[in-house]
Amino acid sequence: MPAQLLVSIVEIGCFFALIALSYLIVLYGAGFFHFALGPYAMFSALGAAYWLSVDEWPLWLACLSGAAAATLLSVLTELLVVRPIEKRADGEELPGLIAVVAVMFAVSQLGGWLFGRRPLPGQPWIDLEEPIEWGSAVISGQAVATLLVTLALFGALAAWLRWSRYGQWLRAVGENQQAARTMGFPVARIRLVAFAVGGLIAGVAGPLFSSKAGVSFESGLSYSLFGFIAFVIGGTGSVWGPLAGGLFLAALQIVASYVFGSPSLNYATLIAAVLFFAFRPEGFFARRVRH
Amino acid sequence: MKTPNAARRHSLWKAAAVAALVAGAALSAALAQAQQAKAPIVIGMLEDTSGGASFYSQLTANAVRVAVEEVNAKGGVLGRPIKLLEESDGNNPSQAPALVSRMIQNGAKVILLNSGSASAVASKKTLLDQKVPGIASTNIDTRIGSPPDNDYAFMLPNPITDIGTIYAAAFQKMGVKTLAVISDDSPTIAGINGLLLPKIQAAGVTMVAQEKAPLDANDVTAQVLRLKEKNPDVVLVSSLGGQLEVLFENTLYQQMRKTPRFSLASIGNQPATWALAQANALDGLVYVASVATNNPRSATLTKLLAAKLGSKFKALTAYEAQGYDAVQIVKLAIEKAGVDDPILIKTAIEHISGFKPSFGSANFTISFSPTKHIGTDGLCGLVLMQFKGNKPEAPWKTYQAKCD
Repeated sequence: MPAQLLVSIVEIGCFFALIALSYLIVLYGAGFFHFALGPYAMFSALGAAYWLSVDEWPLWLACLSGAAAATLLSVLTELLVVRPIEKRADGEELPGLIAVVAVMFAVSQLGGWLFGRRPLPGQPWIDLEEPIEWGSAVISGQAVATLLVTLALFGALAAWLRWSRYGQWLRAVGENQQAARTMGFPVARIRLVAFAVGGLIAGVAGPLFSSKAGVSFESGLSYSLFGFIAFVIGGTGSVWGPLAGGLFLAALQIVASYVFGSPSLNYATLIAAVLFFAFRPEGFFARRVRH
Repeated sequence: MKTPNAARRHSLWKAAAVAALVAGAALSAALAQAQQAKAPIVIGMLEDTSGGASFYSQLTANAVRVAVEEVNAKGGVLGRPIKLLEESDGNNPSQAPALVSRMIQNGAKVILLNSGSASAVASKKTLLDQKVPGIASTNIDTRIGSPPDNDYAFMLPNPITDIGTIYAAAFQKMGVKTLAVISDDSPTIAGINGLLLPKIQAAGVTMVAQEKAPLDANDVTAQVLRLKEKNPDVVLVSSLGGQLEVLFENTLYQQMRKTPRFSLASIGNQPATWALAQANALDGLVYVASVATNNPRSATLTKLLAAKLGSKFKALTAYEAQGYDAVQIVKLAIEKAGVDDPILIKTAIEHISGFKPSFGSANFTISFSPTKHIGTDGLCGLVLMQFKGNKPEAPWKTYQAKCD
């Protein structure tokens, strides 16, 4: 197999992994599948691309603003949509999930309305004059940036969950909100932190990835889908699960495209999803249940 | 019994009432005629504001709006202003017929088809059923202006079969034996490939690999490596352009730098996309342009668009020139017809001959007839250009179509 495919697997896998990680954080802190995270990544990427190409903002400011916008959207979703609906539905998850699906489409349309419906380009975070040659493979500066940022975010999140007070509370609240409330945890605040951190990770992932293939207001739905499948494959047992899931899904897609041609990409994704849902729904890293 | 005076008075009143009625009717008819005389003539424009064709559709739409504004500033057509209705199908051909019908119901007398080629092909039957002429300003699918159902469908640019003809001749001159093709998966490109590739293969070029990628693809490394394994003499990129073609070109530049690359009309005519390519990734790429340096009308249009569009205007491309020319042809046809009746406008278009457009070389003309709905008179509407420094630099030296 050509080494260049490995570079593609790492680039795409890291992006899927970051979206999957944002799913995991919201699930840990709020016990909720936050499907709108893909559109938040799109919104951040599209906003950053717009501010870069139209308003000519510097790269760091555009990307930071995009990530901040995604964080804000995620917090607002919890405050204005999920929390009131769950309250009225007496803790039932389904009405909140349906509302978040509606939020997905609303955010996509909002992105198109604010930043235009034409695809926009991203910009590389590391722009090398000459790409790095590694055997027969060529590695762009952006591929290096994607890997470094992904590893840094995963490392930071793992440390935060392990050693910070909020990180430790997050899991307790996600596992059993009622028990956590009884024990005096600030459940509402912890949920909000989970939504904010999830939105922030998606908000970083969007502009990071958009320099590879651009972004359009319709991109968010596929981000959500692939991120979710990577999340299912990786499992919820470890913060590193999404990274394993993202890389596995990307490898499957790229190798299938290379061996069988591009139409096989969607089939490979579908087969992986069905197989994991059917035979290993807990994913690679199963969550340990404390007795 | 009425006295004679009373009877006369009665008749007088009756006559006065009839006269008032007649005068009133005449006045309202005159008013209606005056209103009709000033009522705008409606032209519909099918475009793509969000889909894969939006990169070029919006260039065309900008030029159409400038042309309409210019016509209106000069007194309109038949003393009436032109009103432009716009509908976007998002490059989805299944939506196009309904949107064309909607514009016709809202009074459109002519439709400009500025979305993808597949949308124009899908709209042919609707135009025929409703007996309203449609002009594909930039679409190159030969089927638009060809039977069946082309009675009301016209096209302005050289069709894809002409592009096939000049690429076949160019490849023969280069001694190309094998070709690899990479395309997007849009219906428009599927239709175009079906017409283009047989022309090239008929010239003795063997297609050794053909790959596709979805319009929202994130990575095309696998597809490009599959092409590379076949070691073709040349690679042809057949796409709607935009971000995906840039991804194709970036990856081809990275993986197959020494293999000559060719493209259709898309990327070369989309200045906004050139900046998206990696440094030097477009260098050497040959594409089909339609703006020649020796056409004085191109230069005039460049100045007009620069003045009207400001920073939105980067460089004159085929898309803008053809959008502008489509409005001039509609204006000419309505003036020839003398009324805004769609059937008479269609007949008038069929009698336009020797129209000198803003694209193509200086002596290039466009003519229609009842049996010729593809307007181009010869191959002079096409120029093969080559990129250098990620910008079109000059006409390709290896081959150019002969202009009779």
